[in-house]
Amino acid sequence: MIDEPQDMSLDTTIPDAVRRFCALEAAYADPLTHEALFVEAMREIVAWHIERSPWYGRFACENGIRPDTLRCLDAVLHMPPVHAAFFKAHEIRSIRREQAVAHLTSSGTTGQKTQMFFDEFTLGGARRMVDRVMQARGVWSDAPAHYLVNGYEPFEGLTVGTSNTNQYLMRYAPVAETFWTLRHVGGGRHEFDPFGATSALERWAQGATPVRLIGFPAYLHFLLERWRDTGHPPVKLPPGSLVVFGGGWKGQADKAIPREVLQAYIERQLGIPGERVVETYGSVEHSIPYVDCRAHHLHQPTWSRVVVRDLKTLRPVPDGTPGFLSFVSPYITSAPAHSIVMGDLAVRHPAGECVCGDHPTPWFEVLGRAGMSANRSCAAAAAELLKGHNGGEEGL
Amino acid sequence: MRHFWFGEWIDDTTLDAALSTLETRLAATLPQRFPLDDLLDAAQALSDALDPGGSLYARFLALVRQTQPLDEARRLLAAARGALTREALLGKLRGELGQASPGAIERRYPARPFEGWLPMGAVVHVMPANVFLVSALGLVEGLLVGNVNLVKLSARDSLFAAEFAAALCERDPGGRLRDYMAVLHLASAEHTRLATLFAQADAVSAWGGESAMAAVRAAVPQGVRLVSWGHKLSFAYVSREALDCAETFAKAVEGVAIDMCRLDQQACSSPQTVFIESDEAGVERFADALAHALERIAPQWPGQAPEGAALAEITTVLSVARAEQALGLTRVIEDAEGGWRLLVDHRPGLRPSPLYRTLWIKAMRREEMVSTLRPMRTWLQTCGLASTREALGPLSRALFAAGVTRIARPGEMVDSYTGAPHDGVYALMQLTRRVSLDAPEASMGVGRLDELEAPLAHPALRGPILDKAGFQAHTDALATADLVFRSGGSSGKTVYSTFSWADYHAQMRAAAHGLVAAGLEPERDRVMNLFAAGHLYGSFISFWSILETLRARQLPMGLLADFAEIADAIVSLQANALVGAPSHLLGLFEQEGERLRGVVEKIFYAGEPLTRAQRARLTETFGVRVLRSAAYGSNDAGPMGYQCPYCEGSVHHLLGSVQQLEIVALDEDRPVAPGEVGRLLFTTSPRLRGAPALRRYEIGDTGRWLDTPCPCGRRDPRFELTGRIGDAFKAGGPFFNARRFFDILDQQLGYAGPAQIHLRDDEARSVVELRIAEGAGLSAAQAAEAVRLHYPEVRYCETQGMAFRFEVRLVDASGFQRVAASGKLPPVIDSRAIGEG
Repeated sequence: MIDEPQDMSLDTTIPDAVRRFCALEAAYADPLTHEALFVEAMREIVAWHIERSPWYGRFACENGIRPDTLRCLDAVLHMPPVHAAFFKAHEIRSIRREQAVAHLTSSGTTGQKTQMFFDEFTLGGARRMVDRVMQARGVWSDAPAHYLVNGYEPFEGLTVGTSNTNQYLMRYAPVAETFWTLRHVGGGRHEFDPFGATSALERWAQGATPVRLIGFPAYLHFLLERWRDTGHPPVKLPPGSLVVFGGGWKGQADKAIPREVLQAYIERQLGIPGERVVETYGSVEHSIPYVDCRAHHLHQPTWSRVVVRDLKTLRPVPDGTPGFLSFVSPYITSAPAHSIVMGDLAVRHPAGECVCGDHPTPWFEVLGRAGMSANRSCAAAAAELLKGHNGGEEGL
Repeated sequence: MRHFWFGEWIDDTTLDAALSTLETRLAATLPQRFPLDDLLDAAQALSDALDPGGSLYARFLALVRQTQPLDEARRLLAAARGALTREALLGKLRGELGQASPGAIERRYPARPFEGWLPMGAVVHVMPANVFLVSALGLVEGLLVGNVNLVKLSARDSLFAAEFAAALCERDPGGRLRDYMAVLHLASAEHTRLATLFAQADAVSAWGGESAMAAVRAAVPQGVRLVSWGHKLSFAYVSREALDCAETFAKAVEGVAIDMCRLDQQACSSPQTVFIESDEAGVERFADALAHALERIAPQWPGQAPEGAALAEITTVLSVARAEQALGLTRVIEDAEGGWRLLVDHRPGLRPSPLYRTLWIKAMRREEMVSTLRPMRTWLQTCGLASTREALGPLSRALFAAGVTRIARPGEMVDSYTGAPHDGVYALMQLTRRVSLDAPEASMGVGRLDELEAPLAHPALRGPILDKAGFQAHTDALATADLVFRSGGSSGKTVYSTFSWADYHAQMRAAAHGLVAAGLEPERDRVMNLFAAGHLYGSFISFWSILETLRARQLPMGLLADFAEIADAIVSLQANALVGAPSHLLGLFEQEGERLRGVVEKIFYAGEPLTRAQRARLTETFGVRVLRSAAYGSNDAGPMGYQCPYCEGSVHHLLGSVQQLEIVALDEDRPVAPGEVGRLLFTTSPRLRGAPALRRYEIGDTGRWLDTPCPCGRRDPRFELTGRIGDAFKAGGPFFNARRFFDILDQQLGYAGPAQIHLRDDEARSVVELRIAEGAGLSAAQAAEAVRLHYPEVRYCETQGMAFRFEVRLVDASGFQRVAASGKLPPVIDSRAIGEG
């Protein structure tokens, strides 16, 4: 089997630099501060995966990836990355199945759902990182909150990534009441329930408990649009209310509206100020959390390096040049996803270009899917429809 | 000014006011008959203007260049130029609807009901951004079948399509096409305006990807026909038989390489995967051969390097494929310069490629082909099939069963032909309705509904008159013509007339309606075809085609000299209707008439006139009930007129669906005064006569208009034939007309036999000899006396001592000179040394 370790006797001890790097406390450290440790940790994690994943061993061999050559940051960032789509199509692990403590499901481009597996170290580390960035963003609170979740209402057997993410986000303030807007209507199908969502919000607006709106932005947009169309009056949600966006506009990309516009509607119709709207970026294939600052910029946290890569060669491009969004981080021991290219186009900006002042790290803007032009989408659309309408796939 | 609104340029501020008039406008335009000939003229003129040296080329090139590279812009304009020619548009009509007159409502012979391809009405075309050719040609397609077209472009599209529509209107000879087109730049978010358009639509024709199509589907009102031209997926297929044959293998490799390079695979018909009917080793072998071929072929085809999203897609696919190479699933073969990429994939199934010369190479087992491809069936389009003759049948059937709609040769996947079906249908059928009409009993005899409608106004005809010599000069393509007829020949010189099959059949169809108007009942008559065949002569085969069109029962006898054989067949087969030439029919009845009485009810003749006495003989003596001209037509000009039951003698309705008629004076080129006899000039609709074009053709007949409406109710105008231009001759002094001699015999003496004028020299005199048949009950003296009495010019020439002599001579059958091919009797035989007339 090429998809998992063959040698049963391999040491499961996490390499020292990897462990130390992932344990760094500060969410947004100046990248220079820990650069040497990052390079060392990457060297260790590459060796780890070459040793444990037969597939990665071959990939590294075919692509000239050798741990001993990874002596500086530049060498690490120039190492050939793996595309996230590869992990959607193939279950590739550097741990044995029984070592996995959790998995997230993603919808694959060729129809089958595939899963990312996490060992204790990876899962624990990722959660700690999410906690730290959320704390830095001021999302933590001891006061109970109501949750309006624009996500799939859980039912027995549902394992799609987003619900997990949403449930995880509900840890940052004790749950008072919850309303899932994509109601389970039986048979694994979900339907958007704008009436239920409206009456929940109306009711909660009467009380003092803060409200947290999380999940797909598309459905919040639909709800607010419906209110405007029907002349539904704005509500004023209690102080301390919050919106956290994740998961993008999945399957609704053509209906997407600019973030600024949606924020303005949220402020006007729900009474939540712009700085309490939290933007996030993440995916099943890469668990490091990217959360915006008060200026709504997605910053690189301590534990990863954001790299934008050339459209043709996949080599890193300078700040300001659009290309493939990609991430490099030694956080993952369960699968060789330590240098990964995302399906999005982005541009990276240096730390100094953000007005927030409290994040000394570069940040990136997502420019959209790195897909095909509209005119050629025939083939892709066919594949898309065959794939069926699965749930979301991105998570924190 | 961004919108072209039925001939006017308007801006956004006035669009809503304009849209509010749409309903009224449609109600006024839709009942009109569409001026198709004007469209064809305008489109041809536009095609000419798009020649690289043409007046519009620079402007249109600049518009397309706003978003397309120069090579592509040139290619698009060249394609537009080709698609707009009369030939291409007629080819499309004929190929897709089977005829060049789509709006005609005609009887489905021999049955009673009428059917026709009518426009849907108002068609809204929803176009994706930057598809110049599709917007323009979609509009032309909609027009071609007579629809009112509302073209919705993207708000950010260039003015190309709108200026295209304006350019078409500027070249419209009749000024009516503007009522049939509007081009609007609307954003998809302009829901109210779009809803106004859709609310008036009879059909919506939409192009684009899945999501655009879903949006249109949701917006189109229930019951409105939605014609969707979604994106399609194509592939190449190399059968195991082709792999085993070195020559076929080499051709397949070469063809797939070419298909990969052409248009950089941007066409829906470009291959995205090639399937090889072999094992992994066979697939790898094909991939290596293909890579080798591409090194040579790719540089020969100019192309565009992918940029932006397309490049990102290629990089993504390659990146994943390289990762999968380490799983043993794939092999990536890449051009060092980045010009092309081959992705060998050992997993089954059709896979979309990121294009720009990128191809998946996969194995396929024939027995799994249908089940592998069927999940993609709604997106499948072309298969470039490399196969041997033995495998072609089963393989093609399986491919079609899997959902493929088009199988092409490798290397020619993106090629097409005029009138080809698109995605399994004919586009024009999607933009038309097939209507039926079962007319009341009173309309029996009508074959085309527009016989009962006012003729469509034609732009005035200008230009030189085409005479016989000019016509011959135009008939230069004898070697390439589908049909060559010998025309005339009375003058001794062989003259030809050519037709294409399409024109021939369209004209015969029109003539068939004329025969029905004359009284032939295709559902019950048993018709003997007695016209002359052979010798390149057209009459027998024309009536064969006419009777076949009518699905009438036909007895193909031909113009035989053996009257007894003909009569035997008529009697034994109970032929109740005859079609043939008058002189032959008269001979038949003179010899066998007794046997035919009571059997032959109807005679339809053509080629020559019948005199009143001849008519009386057939009807009164032999009991023929219906005796009418089968057609007024000729080998060079085709059918020109038909008779209805109210047409007496040589009066005909104009065959208005085929011909335009002008009558100009005998001695100058001006229209005749009412009632004045003049020369007939025919102009055939260019839809029904391509080459040689017949425009203001002087057929050689004289005639005059009848200006009273015909009691039959038909609106095709009537005219009376009064003779041949050649019937007039000069002898001694004034002009004589042979018809006048014959009319005197007919009307004064009741003579029903043949007659002919022979002119010869006798010393210095011109001798006019009138020959009549001996044994017809008329003496030479009687005939001469009647002529002298009723033809004052004859008397005058004789008494004034001019170089002139008039004689009458009784002759037997051999004394009449006939045209060998047709059996026709020319009225005048001029044997003088130097013709005077």
